[in-house]
Amino acid sequence: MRLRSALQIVALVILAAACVAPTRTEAAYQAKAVDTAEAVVSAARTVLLIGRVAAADRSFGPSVAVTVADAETDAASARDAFASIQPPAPSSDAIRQDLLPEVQRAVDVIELVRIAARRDQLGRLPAIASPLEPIAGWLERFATRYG
Amino acid sequence: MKKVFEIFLGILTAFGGFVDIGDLVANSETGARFGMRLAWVVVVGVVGIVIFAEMSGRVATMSKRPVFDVIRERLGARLALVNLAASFFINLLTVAAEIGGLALVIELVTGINYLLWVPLVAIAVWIVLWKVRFSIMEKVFGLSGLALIVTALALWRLDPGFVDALASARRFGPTSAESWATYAFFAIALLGAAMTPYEVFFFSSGAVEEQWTRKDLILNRANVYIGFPLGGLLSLAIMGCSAALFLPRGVSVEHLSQVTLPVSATLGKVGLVFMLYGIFAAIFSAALETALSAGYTVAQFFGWQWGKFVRSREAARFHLVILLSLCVAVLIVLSTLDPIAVTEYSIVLSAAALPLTYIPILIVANDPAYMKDKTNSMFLNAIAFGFLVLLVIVSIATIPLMIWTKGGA
Amino acid sequence: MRLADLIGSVVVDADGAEIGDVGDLWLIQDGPPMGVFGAALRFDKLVIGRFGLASRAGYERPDVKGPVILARLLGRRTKHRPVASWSDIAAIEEGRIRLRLRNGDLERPRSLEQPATGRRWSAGLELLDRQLVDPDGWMAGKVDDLLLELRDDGPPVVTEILAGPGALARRIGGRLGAWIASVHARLHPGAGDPATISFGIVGKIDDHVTLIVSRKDLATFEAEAWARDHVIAKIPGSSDPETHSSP
Repeated sequence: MRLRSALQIVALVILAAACVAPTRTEAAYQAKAVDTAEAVVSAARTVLLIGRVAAADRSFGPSVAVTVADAETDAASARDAFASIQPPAPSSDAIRQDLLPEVQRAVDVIELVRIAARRDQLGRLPAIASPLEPIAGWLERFATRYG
Repeated sequence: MKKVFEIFLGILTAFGGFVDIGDLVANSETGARFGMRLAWVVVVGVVGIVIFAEMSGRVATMSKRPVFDVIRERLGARLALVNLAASFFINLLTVAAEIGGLALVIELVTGINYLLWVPLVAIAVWIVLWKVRFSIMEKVFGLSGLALIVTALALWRLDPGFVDALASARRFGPTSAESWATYAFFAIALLGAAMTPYEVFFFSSGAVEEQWTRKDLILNRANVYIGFPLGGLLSLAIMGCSAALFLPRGVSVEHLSQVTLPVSATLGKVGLVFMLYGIFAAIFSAALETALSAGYTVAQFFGWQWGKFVRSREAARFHLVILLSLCVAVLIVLSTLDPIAVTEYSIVLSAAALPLTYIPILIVANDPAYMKDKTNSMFLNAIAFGFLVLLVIVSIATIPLMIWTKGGA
Repeated sequence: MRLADLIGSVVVDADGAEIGDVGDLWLIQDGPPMGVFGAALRFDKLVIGRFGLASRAGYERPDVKGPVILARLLGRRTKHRPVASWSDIAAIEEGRIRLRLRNGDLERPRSLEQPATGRRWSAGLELLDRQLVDPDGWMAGKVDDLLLELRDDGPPVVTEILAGPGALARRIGGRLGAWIASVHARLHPGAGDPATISFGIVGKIDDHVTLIVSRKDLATFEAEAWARDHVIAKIPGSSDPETHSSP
């Protein structure tokens, strides 16, 4: 009997924690923004890496395409998750207006890379992906400022 | 001479078969987030699996009884049933993770979405299980897993690479960007990936499958004491490659495609081919082992005839359980749950469930009625008992840490 | 009388005070001869006190010494538990056993010692959950429970081994056990009782129970035969010889 009640309590706690806590405070919203920026940096740098590897003929077409598609999924879902959160106060709007356009630019570039990769235009990938480097740098500075 | 060859082959098989999707995911993710600061956990995990795998092999060899058979005798029906339920569920998650991993590898090679490969992969696993002899199955896939040595080569060629990796391995504690809670959580995941419970079920049942006798104890020791640590070195190489390539660039590993990047970048297409082949073989052998373990645990608890050493029709319920487990695993993966996420859950829950499996083994390994004259030495008992204390602490801390860190996010 | 019903029952002494739960049953091999096995096992002593990990782990036996810390910690709990013979029992009720003696008057042997009259067995340690093996080496289930028959000329005798989910359900007890029992009943309509294996077909008992009858002739083989005929035999290759065609 004790085992059952213990299990019930554990299940309740897990359920409670699984429900996403709404970002009521500004600090929580900022933290979410930093997480989003970091996720997009990760995706962007992955694409830059695979672009160089592809152009140097060190990988295969399908593998490159899958890698870019995976990075695109990460970046797009980070953007969607952040965009759907209601900013808690008007003072948080500035963060949103700062971050979202840059994130969107990153996603757009990654999409172009993915299209080229699926068309097996491996040699062109670094050129198409090159805007991602300054974007990644900007996002990293954003993360350091608010993190 | 033949004996030496046999031992050599056994070591290589254990070496190549050590890594599975859990190790690939855990070590790559950890390397990208923490560099080599958690390398010590892999060492601890390898020591742990070496101790308990050797013990369970010895128990099975001396008593001719595999682990779950003995767990029921030692824990009694009710406690053993709880143990079975937990172990079976986690094992099922692990089967799903391995099947998902195999599908992801094929996706990497073909570019076609992994979901389409899931049923085919499961069927392939089952056919090999059904038709191929136990010893051949183990050796072919175990030895093929050796292709993963390319990760060590890649680490050597990466810049910053080997030297930096060693330097960061000596630092204890998280980087400035991470919290102690996440550090501890990743440590638990690494431990669970290295010390998977299915390894013990499979190893001990395998000793009975291959009809080991007292003379084979040396083989058991060699496989485990030499083969597994070498496999651990491979895990560390995977962690190191990830640390060298991804940590400086702020990349976090979320996909299998990223796991192969370091080898691609340094060794080109040839390296990538070896890597993909090695990953496929290592995960395939793990899929076979976990599927068999599903059958072993249930059949051994209920006392049904089990094993690949008899005709399939003579162990009908055993094979039925394996078939059903594979079907359920396929359904889990087809639910479009991210296979990497399934893997993460399976290794963390494995870590939490370790005491369930290891406590009975330690007790039985001391019982002369089972072990005859090969009971544990006092030295081994001391280390094993210390480990158990650690594992119980890990077990208690797992779920709270998982909740606190939101799954290591 | 099923062993599963005895174990876990509360034991109450002559004054009505609770002594503890039935942890184990000691049996003595001095009953009427039963087939190849030899003398049947008779109810010897009810052991009162939890049959926890300490006993199961074998720390009752002096030759189990390690790990040292566990042996010291757990060994203490298995010594000097109160025991009751059949003649000390006044009544056996549902979940409760009333004794004729008072708690203080009960024997408290140090541990299970072998008497001169016949071998003494611990049902919990040496009989329950043992693997059943047939004469050809095929595995035939586990000893899930034991059936004791009341006798006029002395303590009850163990006459049957009970195996299968029906028997296991009672051992597990509680809601889970009841659920298993109902599932089993639905799958095997008409089989009111769990599958029994008469002690007359037991050959010998060491670290497993060897029967003298092939597993195919046991009632518990039904489920295995069903799985074989309806699923496994239909898949090509099910009769392919493996390395060893019998264990």
